[in-house]
Formats: sequence, structure tokens, C-alpha cells
Amino acid sequence: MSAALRLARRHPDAVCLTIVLLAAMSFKLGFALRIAPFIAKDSQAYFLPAYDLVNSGQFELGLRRVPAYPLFLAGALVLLGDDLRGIVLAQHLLGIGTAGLAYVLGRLVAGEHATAGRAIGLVAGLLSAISAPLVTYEHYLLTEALFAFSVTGMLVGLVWAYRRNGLGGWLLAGILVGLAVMVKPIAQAFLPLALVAAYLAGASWTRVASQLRWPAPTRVALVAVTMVAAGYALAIVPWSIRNQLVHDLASPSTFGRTLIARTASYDRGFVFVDPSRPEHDPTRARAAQIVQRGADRGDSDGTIAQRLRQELDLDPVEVNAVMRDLALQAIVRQPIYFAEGSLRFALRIFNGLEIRLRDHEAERKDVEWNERTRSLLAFVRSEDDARFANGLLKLWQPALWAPLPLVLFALGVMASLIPGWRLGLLVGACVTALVVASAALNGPQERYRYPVDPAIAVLMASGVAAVVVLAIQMLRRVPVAASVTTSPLSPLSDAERGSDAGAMNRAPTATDPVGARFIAPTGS
Amino acid sequence: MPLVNWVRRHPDLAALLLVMIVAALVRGAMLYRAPVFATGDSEGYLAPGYALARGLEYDLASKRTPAYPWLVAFGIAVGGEDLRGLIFLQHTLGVVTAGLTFALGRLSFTPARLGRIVGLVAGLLVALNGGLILSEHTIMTEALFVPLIVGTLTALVAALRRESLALFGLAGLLLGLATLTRPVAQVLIPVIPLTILLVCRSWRLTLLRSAVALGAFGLMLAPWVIRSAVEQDSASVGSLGQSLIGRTARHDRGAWTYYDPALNADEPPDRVRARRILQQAADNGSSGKAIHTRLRRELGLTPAEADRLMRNLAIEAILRQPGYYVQGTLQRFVRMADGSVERLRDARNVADTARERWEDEPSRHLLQPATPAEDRAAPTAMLLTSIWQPGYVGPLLPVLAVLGTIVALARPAWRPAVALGISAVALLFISAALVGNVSRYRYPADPMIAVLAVGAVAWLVTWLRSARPWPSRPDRRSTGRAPA
Repeated sequence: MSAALRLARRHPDAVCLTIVLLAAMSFKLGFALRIAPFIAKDSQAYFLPAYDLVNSGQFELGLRRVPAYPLFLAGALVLLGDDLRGIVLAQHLLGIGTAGLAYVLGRLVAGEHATAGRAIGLVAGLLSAISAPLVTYEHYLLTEALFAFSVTGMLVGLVWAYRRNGLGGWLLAGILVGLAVMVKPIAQAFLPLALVAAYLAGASWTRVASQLRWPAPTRVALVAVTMVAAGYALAIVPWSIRNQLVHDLASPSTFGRTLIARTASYDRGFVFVDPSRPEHDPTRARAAQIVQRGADRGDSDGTIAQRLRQELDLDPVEVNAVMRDLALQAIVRQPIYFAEGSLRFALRIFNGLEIRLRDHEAERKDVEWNERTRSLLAFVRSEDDARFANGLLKLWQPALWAPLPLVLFALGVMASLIPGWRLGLLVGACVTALVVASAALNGPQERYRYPVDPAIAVLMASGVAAVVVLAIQMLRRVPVAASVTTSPLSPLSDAERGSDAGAMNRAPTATDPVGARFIAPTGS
Repeated sequence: MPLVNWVRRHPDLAALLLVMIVAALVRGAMLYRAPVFATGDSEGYLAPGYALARGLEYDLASKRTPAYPWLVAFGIAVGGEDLRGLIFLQHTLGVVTAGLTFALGRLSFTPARLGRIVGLVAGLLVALNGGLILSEHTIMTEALFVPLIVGTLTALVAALRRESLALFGLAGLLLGLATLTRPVAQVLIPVIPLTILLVCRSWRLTLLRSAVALGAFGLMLAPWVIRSAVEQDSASVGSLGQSLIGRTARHDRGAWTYYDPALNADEPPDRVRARRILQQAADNGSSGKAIHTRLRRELGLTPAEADRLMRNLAIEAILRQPGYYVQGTLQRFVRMADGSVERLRDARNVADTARERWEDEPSRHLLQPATPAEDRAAPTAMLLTSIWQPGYVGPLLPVLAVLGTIVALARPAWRPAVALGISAVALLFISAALVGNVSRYRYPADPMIAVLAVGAVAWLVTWLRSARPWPSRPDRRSTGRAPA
């Protein structure tokens, strides 16, 4: 017993991480092994290319799809065999890894406040471990499980790179952003944030007025930005070259269809045919009419794309370009409406939807599964197991607590203003970017939030931690205002950047007395 | 480069991870490529385990011990009615076994570098052992018994190295759990004091440490023994009677006489009837369980009484031909040590038969026939289970293991490894003596044989390189404690 306690005291992070991993393992495996894999309409678009790659060596992917998830599926098929249960088991194992990464993220975000970092990491890790949305979408043949893992890994990479501020760290962070893009193109929204973070980490904060400073460029900042860009390019260029060769389109993905989904399928208020501004190009005018008709009928983006292809005899690249142009034109005509709708959708995505097992089991009924892989869908259902799994889903569902998660998230973002915790701002910006970009470019699909749920949990936990810290300070009658100081050079304190020997030209760690009486320093 | 640096800083952890990753990859690849296997004995464990998980009433047969049904119940409680959850758990235990084998090799042989190499190679041999992988894919006790035995010996060797009473206690607890999984583990009870005496050479220390280990063993067993005494009028673990009848009547057909009219006609009618039943069973090759059931039904005996009667009659028959029994036991011992190559096809056939003969209604639906995908994946599964099997090299590994044991006995620094040799021999011998030549009974000894065989090869290589295998005096550097 005493040996175990000694071990726990010597390796507190390892102990916390083990707790998170064990909780995630028991929760996720308890779900994974009881329920047949979930299938959605999009599942086949990823699974069939993977299946064909394994069985015939051919890899044909739709224009707007990126390759990481199909390749992951192919790897799982090779390793675990032609069984969908094996694939979702692999995804749940990734989910266990995601919970572990959530712990690491929470631990890193709080910087030198080791105890607070551990508490934040532990709460975030446990919330990710028992999250109903995460476990549910790890059970789907959809990108969410891999995306959650790669986004959480990317955030850990970014925070770690910021703290070390070494070239290798920024290169790795860039690669991780690129890899996330290879899972879901929406991750391109993270690139500007990563570049800004790299710049700020190396910039020199120069006073331009009595209370105003700005980050002046330095050689270090520019090199860090270059490294992020280079890492990003390393990850996405091969696929972009492939797209150029196959589709004559040098980009990792396209947004035409998703923009039509956003403006025509999920939102009926956009106008694609405006009699006051007639189209001069007859093909384009016809395309606008098709899209308008689809929007009026509430057709899916897939149906509209198919109609455009058939009726106008266009190839997929042309269809995508037409859809993109028409959607952008409609948005430009009603920018306020677009912004208002996007914010409404973003809020809906953030608040989420209650997860019910039956709804997700039933989703496969709407899927026309390809004949050659139909045999993979044969599963025996046990009512006892379904009841148990449904019980598991009730443990932690953020949607059932709405709007509390949003409030705590906002609190976490505010808590990130505390010196030493400011990397939370980067995490918060990434979460907001993903949710808003999903709402703006695609529509109100609740599942788009789930990959950043671990990051949201980190900020929720840091919000609560900040409140606890302040409450304890108030109880002890410590004047908070006097204790909060900022670095003279940067809005991000030196404590955030770490004090390791590898840091480039770093000033000594600034005093950070918030919670100093009850938060142990790193290395305790 | 950071990876290389990390490996240099943590060589043991790196080797352990390598072994466990290889084990996990092979087992992961196997998990969904073959149907869940069962044997004729699986029902005796799966049915009570399922009943326990579902809160149904079920009487665990007196011959069966409870640990494996507990694992089955746990697997069903955690993973649901798809037995793949249980198999996942069993394969996870297999990964643990491979990791423990590394630890066993690392701790048994010094210096650290040599121990690491021995552990790594032995761990990989266990990680890739097709027989073990098949046993983990089967509803049978070996999946739990093997890691418990390897865990017991790892704890024992670690306890000897670190002189830690807590680790001796842990070894006793694990041995108790192993006994609750398969009663033959009781044969390892003497191994603990014997090894302590060999290593410590002190009666006082031997008594103290053995008392801690065997006390923990007794604590672990006590509740089940008391339950058996109260409910079945027999304060024991398992049932020797059924096993001995299995050994003499089933695995050695026609050679034993239970009923001789010239000798037994004057005995009480019930005993004569029992003898006739046994003789009939021996002639037909019936199983111990079938004979036990028949005796209970026809003579109105309790399970404990039927088992006692079977044990007495079997011992009587053995005492009538002791030479034949010893000769047969030795032959079986050699055949088991020699090993055999396990085939996936055989496991599938046995599982099909077991499924057809399944009697327990509530658990019948759990066993599913192979799916078309599993049929398609059979060649890959076959490949996975045939990467490495000890049977490929016949008697080479056991011979090397004997050499390893002798060398360990001669070198004070390696002496804890003697526990492995004695345990392997004891497990094989007791199985040959009490049950018969069943290939899966060798599996618990496989990790120990692998460690000792690789240890012997390492010693041979050292000897060939230095041409001075026996240090003129004890090597002080290598007799110290193993590093953490």
C-alpha cells in the first residue's frame, strides 16, 4: 500500500493518466462489445474505397473526400479482418487515446500550475472518457473518431510547441494540422490559428502607446511561422498533387457541395435565382434554377449535385465549381442573413442533441448498402446488452445539461486570461473556429462539435478550476487584483511558454502568484 | 533520434513494449478472423459463468473450480452476450502473459543486458506462440491459467531478487487464484519453499518467506474450500476422482480393470455396481464427467460421494498395476514435453462438435457458427497461428530448458530461474499422471520453457565467446539485486 502511494507521489501524472485510460477503457469497451456498428449515409463513401483498396488494390475516392479515414479503415481491415466490429473496436481504442490526450492537453494548458493542470486534465480526461457523443460516434463508420483523436493530438502539439518554442515542435504542429485536414478538410480553419500562435510565440512585444503593445516580427517568429507552413505542406501536398493529377484540381478538398448543403439543404432562405439580376451564361442560369428547385424541395446536396451532373452533363469538378459559385453568390446577396444563420447553427451545434441508442441503430435503415459488402452487416442484437449500453450513454451527455457546457466553456475562455493559463485562448479559438466554420460551411450537424469535445472539456474544467481558485483566494482574503500581473512584453505570460532549456532566447519565468498558495509548481 | 534516446534511457520499458505490441498485433489480427472456439469441457465453465452474469441459478459442478467461470461472468458483464468480448479479454490476458514472460526472463538472468535479451526473445516466442493464441480464442481455463502461473513465477522470482515479503505474498495469492482456476496448480506449492531454500540457503528465511507466500495462498483458497466443505461435504479444490478416472478410463482405454468377478464378487452390491459402471465406461472410453453423472444417478450418491468412490476405485486399479501406470505417465510426460503442432482447422472442428452437443439451454445461443467473413479469413487466421509453435522444433526447447535449469542451478546468480524448471516439470508431470496427454496442458509450461531455453542459448553463446563458462568465483556484479 505504501509502495503504491510512494509510486503515486513520484509519478502523479502517470497515475492520473492511468485513471483516465482505465475509465475510458472500461466505458468504451463496455459499449463497443455490446452493440453492432452504426452506419450512416456517408459511411459507405469512406468504407467502400477502403474495402476496394484492401481487396483489389484500387483506391477511388470522391472529389470532396480526403484520404486519412479511408486509409485508416483499410489499415483496420488489413489488421483486424473483414469485420465492422473490428473497425469500431479500433476506433474505440483511438477514443481511449483521445481521452488520454485530453488529460495531456488539460495538464499543458495550465502551464506551471501543476496541481491545477492535473485537476483540469483529470476532469477533461474523465469527461472525454465517458462522453456519450464521443463513444457513439466512435461506433460509427464516420470520420469523427479519427478526427477527434487527430484534433486533440494537434492541440496538444500546438500547446507543446508554444511552450517549447523550438523549430521541431512547430514543424510537428504544422504536420499535425495538415494530418487533421487529411481527416476532415474543415480542419483548414486551424491553420491560421496555428500560424498566429507560432508568430506570437516568437514575436517581440513592443510598446506603441502607454497601454498598447503589438507583436513586432522577429527572426524567430518568422522561422516558427515558416516551420508550421512547411509542416502543413508536408502533410497535404502529396494528396493535393494526386488531386491535380486525377481531377486537375490542386487542393486537398472542395467545399462546393458542403456550401450547397449549408445554403440550400439546411437553410431555405437563400435565393439562387434572382429575376432582378439575370444570369448571362445559360448553363449557369440553368444550374441556378436546379439548385433553387432543390432548395425549395429541401433536397440533399447529393441529390442536387447528381441533378446538376445529369442535366448539365458536367464532370464532378465542374459540378463542384458551379455549386461553390452559386452558394457564394447567394451568400454575398444576403450576408447578414448568412452570418445570423451561421451563428444560430453554431449555437445549435454547440448545445448538441440528446443521444439515443435506438436513433443511431435505426440510422442504418436509410442506408443503401452495397451488395458485395452487405454480409458484413449481419449482427445479432441482445436486448440486455442494448439496455446496458443505453444506460452507459446516460452517464455524461453535454446536450442534456445545455446551456451549462457553453457557460462553463465561456468561463474557461475567460479563465484563460489568467497569466500562465493563456494557451487556453488558443484552445478556445480552435473550438470556436471549428464550430463556426462547420456551421457556416456545412450546416447544423451536431456531430461536427464532437471532435472538439475533449478541448471543450478542458476549457470547462479550467473555468471551474479558476472559479475554485478565486473562491479559495477570496475565502482566505487574498486580494486577487493585486496578485494578477502580466508580463511586460507579451499578453501571453512567460510562464505559458515554459522555462525549459530548449526555449529560444526566452526571458526568465515571470512571477505568477494566482493560486500560488495552493497550486504546486511543475516538477513537484 | 528522440525515440532512440528514449530507448537508450529506458531499455527495459522499450523491450517490454515491443513484446506487448507484437503480442497485441497478432491477437488483434486474430480476434475477428476466427469464430469463438469451444471444446467438450467448455460448457462446464460457460454455462455457470453465463448464469452468474445474468443472475440465474446454477450449480458449479464439483470438479470445476470457480475462477474461470468468474472470468466468463466478468467478460459477459463487461462485453455483453457477444462472446467476442470475453475473447478480447482473454487475448488481453495473452498480451499480459507475453509481457510477464519478458519480465520473467529479465529477472531470472543477470546481468541486466543478458536478462533483457533472454526476456525479449522469450517474450516474443510467447507473443507469437500459435498454440497460446488458439487457447486464448477458446472458452477454456488455459486463457486465465497461463497468465496466473506466469504471474506467480514472476512474482516469486522478483521476490527472491528484491527480498520483498509483499512479493512473496503476491506470489502466494496468484498461486491461490491459479488453483481456483485449475486445481493442478497445487503441485507448485512445494516449489515455493524449495526455491527459497535453494536461493537463500537459510532455513529461517525459508520458513518465514514460505509462511508468507503459503499463508496468502491459503487465504485466497479458504473461502472456496469452506464453501465446498459446507455444500459438498468435501474440503478440497476440484475433484481428483473424476480426473483419475479420466486418466485411466478415457485416456488409457482397455488397460485397466475395475471389475474382476473373481476378485470383487463378494463386495457390497453398490460397490460392485459402481465397479461395473466404471468397467463399462473404461471399455467405451467415456469421460470422467459422464461416469460421475451415471454413478450419481444410478447409485443415488452426492457429487462428493461419487467423486470419492471414483478416486478410491481408480487408485485401487492403479495400485494393481503400478509399473504400467508409471510407464504410461512417463510416456505421456515425454509426449507432452515434445509438443504438438496445433491446427486452426482442428479447433474449428472441435468447436462445431461442442456446439452441436451443447446441453445447457440458456447459454446455447452464445456460441455462433463461423460467419462467411470468418470462413474467408481462415487462411489468414491459420497463418497467424502458424508463425511460431514450439511443436515445430520438437524436443529442442525442452532439452534446452533442462540445460538452462542445470546451468541456473550451478550459477548462484541465476538460481531463481530453477523455479521455472521445477514448475514446468511439475505441471507437465502432474497433468500426465492425473489426466493424460492433452496438448493444451503444456501451454502453462510454455513460457517457462521458452525463458529457460533462451537462457540456455544465451549461456552457450557466452561460453563459446569466452570459453570460460564457469566463473572461478561468484561474480559479484551479477549476484546483486536486479535493477528496477
